[in-house]
Amino acid sequence: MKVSRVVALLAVTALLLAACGGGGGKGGNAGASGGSITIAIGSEPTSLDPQLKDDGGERAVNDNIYETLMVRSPDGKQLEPGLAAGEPTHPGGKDDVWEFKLRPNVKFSNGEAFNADAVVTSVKRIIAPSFKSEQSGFFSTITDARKVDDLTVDIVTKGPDPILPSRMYWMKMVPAKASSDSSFASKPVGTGPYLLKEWVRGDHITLDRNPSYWGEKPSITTVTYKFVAEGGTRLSGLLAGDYDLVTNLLPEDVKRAPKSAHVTGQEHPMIILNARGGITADPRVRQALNYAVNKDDIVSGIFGGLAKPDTCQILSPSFFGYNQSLQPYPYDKAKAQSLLQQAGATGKTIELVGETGRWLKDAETIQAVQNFWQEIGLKVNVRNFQFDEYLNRLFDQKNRADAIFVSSSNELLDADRQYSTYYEDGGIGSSNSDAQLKQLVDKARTELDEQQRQAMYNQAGKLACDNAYFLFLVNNDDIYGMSKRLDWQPRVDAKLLLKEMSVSGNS
Amino acid sequence: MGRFAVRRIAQGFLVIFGVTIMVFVFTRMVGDPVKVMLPLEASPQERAAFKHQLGLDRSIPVQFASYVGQLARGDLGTSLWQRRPAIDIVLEALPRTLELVLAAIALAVLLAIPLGVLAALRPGRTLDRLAVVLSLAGLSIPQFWLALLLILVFAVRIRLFPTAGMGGPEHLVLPMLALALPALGRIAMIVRSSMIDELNQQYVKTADAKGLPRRRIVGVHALRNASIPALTLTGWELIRALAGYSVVVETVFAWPGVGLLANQALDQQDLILLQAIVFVVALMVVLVNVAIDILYKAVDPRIKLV
Repeated sequence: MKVSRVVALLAVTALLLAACGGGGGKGGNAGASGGSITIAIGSEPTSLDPQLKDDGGERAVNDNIYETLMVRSPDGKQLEPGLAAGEPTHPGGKDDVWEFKLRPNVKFSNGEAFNADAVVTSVKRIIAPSFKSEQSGFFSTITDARKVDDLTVDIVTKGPDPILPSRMYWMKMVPAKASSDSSFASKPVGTGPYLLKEWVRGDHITLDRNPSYWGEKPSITTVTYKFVAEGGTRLSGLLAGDYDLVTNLLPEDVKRAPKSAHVTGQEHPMIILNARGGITADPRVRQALNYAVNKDDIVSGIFGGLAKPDTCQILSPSFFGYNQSLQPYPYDKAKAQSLLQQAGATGKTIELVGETGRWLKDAETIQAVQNFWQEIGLKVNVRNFQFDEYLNRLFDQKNRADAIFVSSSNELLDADRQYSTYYEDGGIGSSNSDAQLKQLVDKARTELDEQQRQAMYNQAGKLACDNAYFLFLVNNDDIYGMSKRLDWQPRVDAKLLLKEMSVSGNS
Repeated sequence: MGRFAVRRIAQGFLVIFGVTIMVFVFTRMVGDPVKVMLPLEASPQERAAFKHQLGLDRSIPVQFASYVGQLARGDLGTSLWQRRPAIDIVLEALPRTLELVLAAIALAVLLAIPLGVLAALRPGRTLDRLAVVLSLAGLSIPQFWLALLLILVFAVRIRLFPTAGMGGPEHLVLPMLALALPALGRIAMIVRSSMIDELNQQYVKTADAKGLPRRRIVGVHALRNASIPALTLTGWELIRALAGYSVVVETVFAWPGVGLLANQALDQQDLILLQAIVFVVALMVVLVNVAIDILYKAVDPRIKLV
């Protein structure tokens, strides 16, 4: 008895000490002065070949060493020429060819010229099946790249591909010669504002400013990346002043961080409703499920205010194809109950398939939805699976669950990915058989006229909203913890571009 | 003794082989790495093509045959996630884990023995009570929580040590403590209880009666006998630290050893790398067991190694 009391006392003391720790962080003394910063990312890059892997650690580093033909403004809305000299065109009106003029006088850090050969190499390398690129899915429409002259390249697609310019914002340009070296994956050679200084495996990666960078000279001179998988440890390092920037700060930790920044991200937690059969086949039930959930409650209660209700579409405002005029289903319990009654579904059981731990606040969100649905008179059978088994259910097109929780993301910031995956009949996560919707999505995929394409997505979005093919939930923010001295505005595409960061004196 | 070690290691290889086969079967049963490696929105065609490239569309028996063939040639395969030989990745991480685990267990033993002995000398008195409380606290605190607590107190509040990562010796201190404290608690409790047993034995009374100095009775005669259970437990702690606790502690402290690697390999569903990790860790476990058996003999010559 006595012993356990002492242990309890010890534990309480320790907790108090730990709680005090929160206020202790001053930050601002990480690294040396003169524009050096330290960034903690969740995982170490497995390779610094910019075309091979699809992992966040690799992107965080290589986004500063390599560049792309097209770039995006920080708000994601403008797609602009990067290494390209201007907007791409269709030579001779051929709609399956995009012609890029290249920026002259750009060199890779080993002295190789950036020219048509480099672009052709980059394209052919990443689409070659033998290269086994995890990014190849982003470029599946590309069939060929041809050099026209030293600074002109034609990229050929399988039929018209309106998304190609967006795809070229994802494809990093590698040098024609050095990219075939066996050491290329550990000794990156790019055109970007930073160079690899050292990579101590398991510990850190350091980048220095590229003295011969063609563009504007960035302010930060040196950056060190540390690899810290555990979120609590990243926060501790931020509080201790070890880091200037940490990724994926939890909403509840925002108050403890010396400084934080957030931006509407690309993640859309939502629930796919089965329109093909079962209790959710009746559109009134699906609408009721939308009216039943208080999205504002989820935003404030679960995401600490750092999210926005989705506007009846699984798209962020920064995506091409976003429908400006759609509005969220308002929270209306009475209406939900009466719709359910009309459909004769009151008291019935709905199956909700989910998982926990993969996405921010997934378990909490699923539980909140369960409670809201129970309140309108449904029995909710939540079945959370381990991720791998969960994916089996998500992809299982034969036995569709009534409702499947998922968080959808989209690096290309173009509506096609969401529409092809979740909206369109035949998509791996789709639960409807709406022929009209499918036709719109298929047509939009190859429509080169931006206005017409937008009009098709507007129509498709409205169709899916009216039919409530999903329970539309929220679009949560990306949250970053920062030291006091770091000045940076996060981007909607989640890229950590050092050239957009600076440090202010010693605070 | 040499023949004994060789035989035990040979037996160990059978165990390792069995474990590896089991890992092969289980990982193939539960996981599909392609699902996790590609973005969620990848199309079925992209998935099928990628699966084919990795050779994972072959039937399980075919995959198994090629796996055993590789194993026979000493090839543990190429990591799906890192695209390098899996064994290279594991051997890169192994010394870091050994450094951490050996330092932690050494610290635990060095502190646990005096603590346990002092507690046993006067059971029920203040010093004993204190030792018991400390041991219980050490062994009952969840390691994950202990690790975060150490960071918050000694790296954030009092900035004595870095919060995470590998580097100079100062980086070793906190993860070492997080691994050592629970082991210390358990070993100290065992030393204490077996010392109390030994000190009540007849031979202790005899030695006392014939005037042998107390320090010699406790420190040499009783401790030697009491150290057999402690040795067993230490071996067990070493194995548990290598094959289990290091996963938690290395993850929290971003210590790039085998434990963190195992966590990442699971995350990435990298079956090949997981197999290599299990193989190497199983080998370590066998070696520790052999070493402990040999140490028994050194402590107590009456023990026969067969």
